[in-house]
Amino acid sequence: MASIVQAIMTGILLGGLYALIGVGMSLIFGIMKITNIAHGDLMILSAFFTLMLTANLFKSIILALIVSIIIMIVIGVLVQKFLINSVIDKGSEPALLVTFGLSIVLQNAMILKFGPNSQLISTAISEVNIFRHGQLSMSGQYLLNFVVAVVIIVILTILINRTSLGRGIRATSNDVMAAELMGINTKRMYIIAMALTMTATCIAGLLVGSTFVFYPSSGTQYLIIAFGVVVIGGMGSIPGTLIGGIILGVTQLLGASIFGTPYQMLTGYVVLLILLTLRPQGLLGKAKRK
Amino acid sequence: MTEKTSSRRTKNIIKLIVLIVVLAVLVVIPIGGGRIRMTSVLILVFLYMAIAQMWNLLAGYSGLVSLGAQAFVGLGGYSLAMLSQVYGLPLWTGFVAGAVISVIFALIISMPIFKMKGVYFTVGTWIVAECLLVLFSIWKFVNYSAGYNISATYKLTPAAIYYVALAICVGAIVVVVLLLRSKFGLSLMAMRDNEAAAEIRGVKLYRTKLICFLIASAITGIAGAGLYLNIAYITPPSAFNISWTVAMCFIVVIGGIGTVEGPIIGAIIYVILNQLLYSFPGFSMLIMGVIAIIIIILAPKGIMGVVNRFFNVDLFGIKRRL
Amino acid sequence: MSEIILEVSNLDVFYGDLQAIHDVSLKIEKGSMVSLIGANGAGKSTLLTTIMGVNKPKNGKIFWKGQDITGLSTNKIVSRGLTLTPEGSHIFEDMTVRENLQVGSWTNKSREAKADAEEKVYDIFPVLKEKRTQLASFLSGGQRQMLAIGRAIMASPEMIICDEISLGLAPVVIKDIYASLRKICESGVTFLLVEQEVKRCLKYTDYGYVMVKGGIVMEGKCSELPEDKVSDAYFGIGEFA
Repeated sequence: MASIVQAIMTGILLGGLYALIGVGMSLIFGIMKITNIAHGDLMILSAFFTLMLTANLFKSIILALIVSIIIMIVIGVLVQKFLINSVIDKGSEPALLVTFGLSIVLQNAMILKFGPNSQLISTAISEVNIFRHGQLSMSGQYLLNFVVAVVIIVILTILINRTSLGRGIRATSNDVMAAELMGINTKRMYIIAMALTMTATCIAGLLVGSTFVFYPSSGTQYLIIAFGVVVIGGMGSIPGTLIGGIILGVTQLLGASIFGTPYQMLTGYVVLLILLTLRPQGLLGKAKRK
Repeated sequence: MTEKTSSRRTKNIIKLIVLIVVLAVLVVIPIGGGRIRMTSVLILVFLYMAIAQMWNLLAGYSGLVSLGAQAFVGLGGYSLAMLSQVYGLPLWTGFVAGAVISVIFALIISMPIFKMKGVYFTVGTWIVAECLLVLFSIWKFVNYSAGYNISATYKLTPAAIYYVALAICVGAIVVVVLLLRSKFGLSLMAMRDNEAAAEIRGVKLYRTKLICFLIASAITGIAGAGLYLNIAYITPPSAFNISWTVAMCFIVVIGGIGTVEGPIIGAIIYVILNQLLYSFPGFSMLIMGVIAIIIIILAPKGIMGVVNRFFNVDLFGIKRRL
Repeated sequence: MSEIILEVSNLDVFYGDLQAIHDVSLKIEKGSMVSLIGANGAGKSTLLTTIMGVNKPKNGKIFWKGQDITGLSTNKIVSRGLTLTPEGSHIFEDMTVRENLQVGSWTNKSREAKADAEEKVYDIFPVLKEKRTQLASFLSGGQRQMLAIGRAIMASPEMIICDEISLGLAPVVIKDIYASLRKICESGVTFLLVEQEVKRCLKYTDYGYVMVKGGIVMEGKCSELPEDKVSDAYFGIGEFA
């Protein structure tokens, strides 16, 4: 019983992190109708940047994070301007293949630059236990992940739903031509959405990199998690990612606690496949009207 | 009219002669046991050509962009390894089992997977392949993640593997060509051009796609067995690696998606580039990725698309005439 | 003759090899209500999208208040005070009525101007005020057009082009909308209305252009344009065959 409670508790906290991993992908999908296959690799790349910056340049991890956010925004904007914007009008397949190509390029570039070995960003909080009571415990890192994720998702939700910029982004995602007719520079909205995505993804990268070991090839695994979160939460729904993340996290850890640790990923994948089969538009997503 | 027909017939005869000469040259190459390097490179070209043809049959003709084709390469490889290594059966049984198991697996996963559309299908197939990767790593029956040496292959000469690979490749191309030239191919192309219109005209979308999926799975399974006949050592991370699909995707995109000639050219380029950059692991994939991105943006129909703009190439008589 | 607000001179537009617009010239006076009449496929929508910077013309120029705006991007043209309500309204379905209006004031930077514009819209179309918290996708056809016009007004434009604003609406609703347009026009906004219906245009607008097969075949004050001749031109019969 205690192990089930532990699994649910840790699953919820892990789900927060998953939601943060997926939120950028959801944002990109919501506004551009594009599935970015390189999403996981971009996150791992940001983790490497933060790691390198703390190891070589800065003492403060926050400073390192800010600098790598800036670098990642530049990379994201370049990717948007030169890769995605040039195929965005040609349907979903070219965009899928371009981001797939980008994913392969990023993975191999990271292997060449950083080597194939596992890395971990060590922070002061990774060893802290919030409490330990009998068989139950809560790690400080997991709690931090969850809190940061919730804060960022709330900020993004407010930004998208309550501000003028957010209305511009939503208008663009709703009807590009009409948005242009309102005087909105829609290509700029895409770039802003990409910058927001990169910021969230970079923070996710730091948290992932300080919670789990990561390799240049880890992006694939996190892409599937991001995809799962977005599918369960509904493509394009920002608050939905939090629910998607928690469902995925709890399922994985319950699977691990019932069938054994090796089955953690497998349970997550299988549940995802079942959900995709039953509700192809996501649990909270609405069916697309056309 | 008769002149046109006769000139077409002459063209067809020339094409046939060219194909026979090419095939004859390919058959002669390994004779005498020389040209070891060329033989080993061609083995890879043949096998990659076969799996790329299958990926193209799905992505280029049936609108099924899959990132999970590695599932069938792995199943084929494991069929070969298990039957020869664990049960001591002759190697050819591995190929049969590879095809059968792949088809059965494809049939089973088609039920959920075919409910998914577009990008959901793409990522769905990937998740299925990832499931196999995880499953095989924790499954006692397949010796966990340690995998197997396929020691029966040690006795094979490079020439023997070469002919197996050649047969698989020729077989794959023949299947695709016959398929596309048949009435089935016509409905396939109608479906690719306009799904809704094709359905109204009586094309059974689900059945048509499923048949393609099963054929592609079977041949990818056989080619997977061929690949591991050559590699002789199998583990889950290598067998179910996304890099198989990456290779297929790059070959098809570079050569020209939706053409039979495209994967042929693409496979030659892919294998040669990999050989040239052999001593810089990672670099070849990096360069390949950059080339693929540039091609998708600038020439979405690949090399064959560019070639077709100047010459109307139709090596296999697939294009329809009215 | 008062000031010319929009001038199109000798415009040629092509889709590939196909010429959609032949040597079209228009002059629209500030504060007037002008109609562009033409059947389906006459090239009206192409002309509009070219004026708005969606298509690029091969030859010819477009002048807005004396300045050359040919080739500017849509959002830049809109921010200079010329806007369009597209055919089929194109309201933002996933947003509320009020949010639609707020997006409409995107180019309007001052807070007061935004509030004033919103009041003005509610004044003209009270039903939008009632429904302001509802999702736009729940509006009826007529209300959608009202919202599209209201959204355009939010930018405090000097001129609004309306593409097929009465398409699919009941006559009584159309009458209401035209009355509102006249009200807005009297407050100083210039209108170019694109319509298929000859009679309505001649009745409600000041000046008319008739477009057939990509070219202007007739123009004049609506009070002076003979309806039967306009109809002939419209259908390409009689002397216009």
